[in-house]
Amino acid sequence: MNAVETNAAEPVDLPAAEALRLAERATAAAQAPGRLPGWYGPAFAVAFAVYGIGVGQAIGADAGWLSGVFGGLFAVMTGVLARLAVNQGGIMHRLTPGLGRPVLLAVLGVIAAGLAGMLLAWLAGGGARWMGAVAGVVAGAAFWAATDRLDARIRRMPAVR
Amino acid sequence: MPAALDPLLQHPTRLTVLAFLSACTEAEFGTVRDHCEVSDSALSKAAAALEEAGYVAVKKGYVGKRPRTWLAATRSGRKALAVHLAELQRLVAAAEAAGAAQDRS
Repeated sequence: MNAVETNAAEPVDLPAAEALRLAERATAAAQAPGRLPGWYGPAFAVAFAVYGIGVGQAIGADAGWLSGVFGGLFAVMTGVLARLAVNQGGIMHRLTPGLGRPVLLAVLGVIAAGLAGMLLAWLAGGGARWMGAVAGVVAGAAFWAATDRLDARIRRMPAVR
Repeated sequence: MPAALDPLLQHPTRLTVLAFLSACTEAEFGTVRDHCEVSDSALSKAAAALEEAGYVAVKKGYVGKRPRTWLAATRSGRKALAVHLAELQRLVAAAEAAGAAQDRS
């Protein structure tokens, strides 16, 4: 894209078709998906694991109120990680067209993996500590795998930065 | 100039910057500069004009020790752009229709 550089103070008689072309190219540039940083999946996986282990330990120690504290810490941690990724990329995207369904499936996959892990730990006779830890670790691993898949999909999309 | 066309957006840099920002939530100054392929000073002037019109919000902050400026299109900026683009499309369509009619006659 090349916005014709002119003195910003001067009015410019920009032909309508040219103006539309400029706007379309700028829109496409802003919507082009950026690749996820390499640390994104692993860092979130660790956050999920720490959260699951923390909640499991809190419930196992009959300190359920600590679950709320861990929930708050998890929200802050993931918020900071997301902000770091945005700062690194220089742009906060709206949801990229064509990625809505894969993102929804990824979120559902992470939830399902966490619940399945919890169920398996329970079936294996594990207590709250084990259930929390397994759910957190499995959800984290599922998130990591999902971000890898999304990143591969983004790489295949045209005009990826 | 037709009434629905925004004089502020008749400038290519301002139009490009607002179109870019309207298609994302927010973007860092350097990212906008690189993607819109304009100089620092041209982007500064365009951003200042758009901010003055209430079309763009400018937020300054730090990433580590580095100062960073983040730009975001405001709701009125997105609306102004949509109206401007709709009018441009109308003009182009009218010109094409007139051209086609001239070809037939």
